[in-house]
Amino acid sequence: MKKILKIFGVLVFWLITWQLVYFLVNQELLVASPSEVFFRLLELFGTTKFWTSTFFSIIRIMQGFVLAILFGVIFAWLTTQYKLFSIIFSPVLTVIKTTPVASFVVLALVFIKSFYVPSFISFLMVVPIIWANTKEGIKKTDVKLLEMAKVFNFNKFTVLRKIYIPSIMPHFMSAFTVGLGFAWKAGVAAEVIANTQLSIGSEIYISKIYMDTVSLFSWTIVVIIISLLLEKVIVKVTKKLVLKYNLER
Amino acid sequence: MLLSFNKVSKNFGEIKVLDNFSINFPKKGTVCLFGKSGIGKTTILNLIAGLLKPDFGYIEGLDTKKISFAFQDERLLLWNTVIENVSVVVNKKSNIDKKEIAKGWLSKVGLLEFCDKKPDELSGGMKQRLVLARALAFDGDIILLDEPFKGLDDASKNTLIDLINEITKDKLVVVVTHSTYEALSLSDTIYVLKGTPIEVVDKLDIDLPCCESYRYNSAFLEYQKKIDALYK
Repeated sequence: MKKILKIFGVLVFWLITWQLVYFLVNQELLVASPSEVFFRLLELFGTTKFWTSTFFSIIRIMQGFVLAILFGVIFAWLTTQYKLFSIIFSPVLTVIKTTPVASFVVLALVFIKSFYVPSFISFLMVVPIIWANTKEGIKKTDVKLLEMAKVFNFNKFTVLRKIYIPSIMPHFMSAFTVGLGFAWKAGVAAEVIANTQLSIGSEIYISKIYMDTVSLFSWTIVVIIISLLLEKVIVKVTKKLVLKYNLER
Repeated sequence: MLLSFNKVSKNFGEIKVLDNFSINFPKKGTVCLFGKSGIGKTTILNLIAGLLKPDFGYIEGLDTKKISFAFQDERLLLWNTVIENVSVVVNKKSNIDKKEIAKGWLSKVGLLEFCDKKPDELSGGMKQRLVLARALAFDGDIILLDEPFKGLDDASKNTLIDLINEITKDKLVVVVTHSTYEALSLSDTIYVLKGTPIEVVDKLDIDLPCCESYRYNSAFLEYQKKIDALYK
């Protein structure tokens, strides 16, 4: 109860601040009023377009996120097992990490249909995070435990299940949580730049074109809410699965 | 084939731990490698376990042998329960069989009631007993015990000594210790080791009854004096 009150208090504080900023600036074009945004949000919830755009955005971005986890883990494994692979692919990691999202989006638009660009961008932004953290987890696996496994003839699956996964899990889970937020933000940014049809990004883009600040604020709030919900739900479910299968250290 | 080291050398950087070291182990019975801490007794066990390879020389008699190892530094899966730490080494297909066998060993070392605890919830001595239970549950042809009673009180130590003496009659057990009491209570043969690189100062064939009541009798004390004299 205390926690809910605290959250509510913080929310009220920022709503008042927003309202004050709105009064101070006094230009609808620059800052929309909280009440207008609230009613626009209600309007949006009643439209099919809102739900289809949100649905496709989530699907596209999650597609990239899931693939990023898969490839990030595979790359981490390969780079720790084969030195040559590490030498060749480590610079790729640095390039992806340092290149701005916008550059990748524009480049990707040359080769990929705009519908798939957000998936690709989410994938590209999350792969290095999962890759680097999982690699760190593999590297930090206790060699003495691996020796113990060798002595007691553990098969490869048991070594993975009993030693590697619990060692990697804390590193992986932090990358998972950070990556999820990152995938969402980068994915929506890609939708805006690529003007992907049926997406939250394209709605933000249209709001910008028509200088519809109320819609822009409303869609931004939608992005924040979905981001928080996704993080809460997916991270919670994943943590439950980790606990259920005793994969945590 | 009997286990033997033939002119084995092992260096760690500049330090020569083994230099042309040769030793023969019997087919069964308990052999103790007795010597001060840090001279490289564990290196010998690691070579037998295949965790280290000799720089020169060779080790015979290890082909197809299953090796159980009670590590001095525990090497437990801290995220698994006590019973899982033991059942994971049991060579059975069914999980139920594995757990039953693990329970049997945990009962023998007095840890049955701690089955569902995590290793970090156990005391140092209890962890040592768990390490021993795991090694015995693996049912190796050769059992390596590296300071197996570290951190144990006398009563637990004697119970485990009796347990080891009872269940390892038909196997080769190699124990590393620097305690004359443990060496004499467990071993059929004691190799007194000294120096860097390691040298065998003497080999003593021990003829003492296994039971606790005979420990500290005159023959026991006689051996103890002899070892202490060699050790100095």
